[in-house]
Amino acid sequence: MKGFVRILEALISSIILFTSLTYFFTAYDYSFWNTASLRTLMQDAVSALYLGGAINDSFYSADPAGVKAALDSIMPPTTDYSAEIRGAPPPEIKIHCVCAIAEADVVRARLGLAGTFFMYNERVVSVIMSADPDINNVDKAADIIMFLRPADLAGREQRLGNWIAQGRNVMLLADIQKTDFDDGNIGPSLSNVFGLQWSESAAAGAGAFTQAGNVRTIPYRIAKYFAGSSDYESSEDFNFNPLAGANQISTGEGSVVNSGAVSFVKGREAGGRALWFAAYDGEASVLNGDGSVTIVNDDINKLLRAAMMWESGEKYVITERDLPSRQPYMRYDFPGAVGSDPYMISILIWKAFY
Amino acid sequence: MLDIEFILAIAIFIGTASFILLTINSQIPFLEEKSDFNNIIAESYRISDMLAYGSGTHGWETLIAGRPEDVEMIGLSSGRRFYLSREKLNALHGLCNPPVAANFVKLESMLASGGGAGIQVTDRSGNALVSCPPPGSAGVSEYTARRVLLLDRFPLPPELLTLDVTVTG
Repeated sequence: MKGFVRILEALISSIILFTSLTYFFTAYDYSFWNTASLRTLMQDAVSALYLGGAINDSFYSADPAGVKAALDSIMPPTTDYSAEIRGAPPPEIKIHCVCAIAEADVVRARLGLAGTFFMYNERVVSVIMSADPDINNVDKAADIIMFLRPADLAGREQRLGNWIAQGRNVMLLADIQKTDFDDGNIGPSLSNVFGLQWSESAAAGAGAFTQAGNVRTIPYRIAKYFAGSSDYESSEDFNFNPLAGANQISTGEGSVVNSGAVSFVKGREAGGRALWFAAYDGEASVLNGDGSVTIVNDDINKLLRAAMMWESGEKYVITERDLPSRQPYMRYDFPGAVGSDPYMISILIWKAFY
Repeated sequence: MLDIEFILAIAIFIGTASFILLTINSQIPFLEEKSDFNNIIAESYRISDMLAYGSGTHGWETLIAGRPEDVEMIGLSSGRRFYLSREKLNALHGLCNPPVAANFVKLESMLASGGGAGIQVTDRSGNALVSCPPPGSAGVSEYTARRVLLLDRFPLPPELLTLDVTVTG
């Protein structure tokens, strides 16, 4: 009897042994070549398009179709991709004003456009404006959503916050009074969305760029765009001449143009971008002796234009598709430059069938 | 006299050892095949890198017609990264067309592909600038590495090209 028990023990042990050994003998069929070859093709495509000048040509022609067609022809048909360039002003800026068309036209007139565009470092930047006073009709393709009155922000903190979180850009071109901050509906939008704080100090004369030499800051970029799109230098003084008691916005992170302890232009980046630009008299002009007309605040008009270049998100979309929810995707970043503007080409690619 | 328990122990030992050996043995062809195919893929990318970024023996594009023995290595680069030379593409195309066995042997010795390599360079319209088909070999694995490059047409703007290197093994 004892012998049979031992035989049974041995049989059970051997079954357990065989079963467990199979775990270690499985040959896993894993290959990295599929992703490696796709990544190599993607890197080659972006490098060749950049080194061949096709990407910068699309900046100068304001048309990404050529680059998109080239990428479409290179990428395997079973893949999907999304490509964009970040860090340089796009060749086209779409602005949607939450205001009447006549008000949008007044702002547009300040931008000094030749038709629909202006020149920046020998390249064309087009501005396309739309307007609708109803916030529910905001153009979904707009790069900048602009407001002209603090009152239009009343009760909109959550919506504006959501836009910023989604990467959209909001702008307020208006005078701000202390009463706006005290208003329970408007104040939270000014503080939490635009990052503004009321100061007890008053402006001390003309404003000037702050930290224009610090490449990590917002003023550096706006000052660069200001000098590159106008005949002015970044050392220009801006006479905003605010109304008494208005625009006492404290300086600090994001301040672009300061006058003493007060800021006239302030930006904030948190996914999307928020920019406040103090109102000013953009239409005031003087008649010269030779009959020509000089716009008094032409420098601030050009500053507004430069601020909008930053506010646009400095993003140039070649082709945009919704990212896949399930399948993994690869990302490739390639550094480049157009004129004096460094940028990063980012391409995301994934297999359409996963 | 042998004990039944001893016999059983020996049988289980032999059974276990046989099981392990048979399991490993059954995986070997599969792993060998995968390893060979990985080598083919790596080889196709090695050759594509050599052609795309290498310039080859100095002046090979002219030497190859008259003194092929002086050419040790070929490359299609014009000297600028990602740019291919029109003259070198023409020389490579001329080496393969019309097909001459000695030229293919020479090409294989320079590419050191082991099995056989085919080279195809096409522009965006699909026109073949270089067409060196791989030597025909039936029933073997093959892989094509595709690279995207530029045709140097200075002073004209460059043109996008695709370089396909097919390695068979």
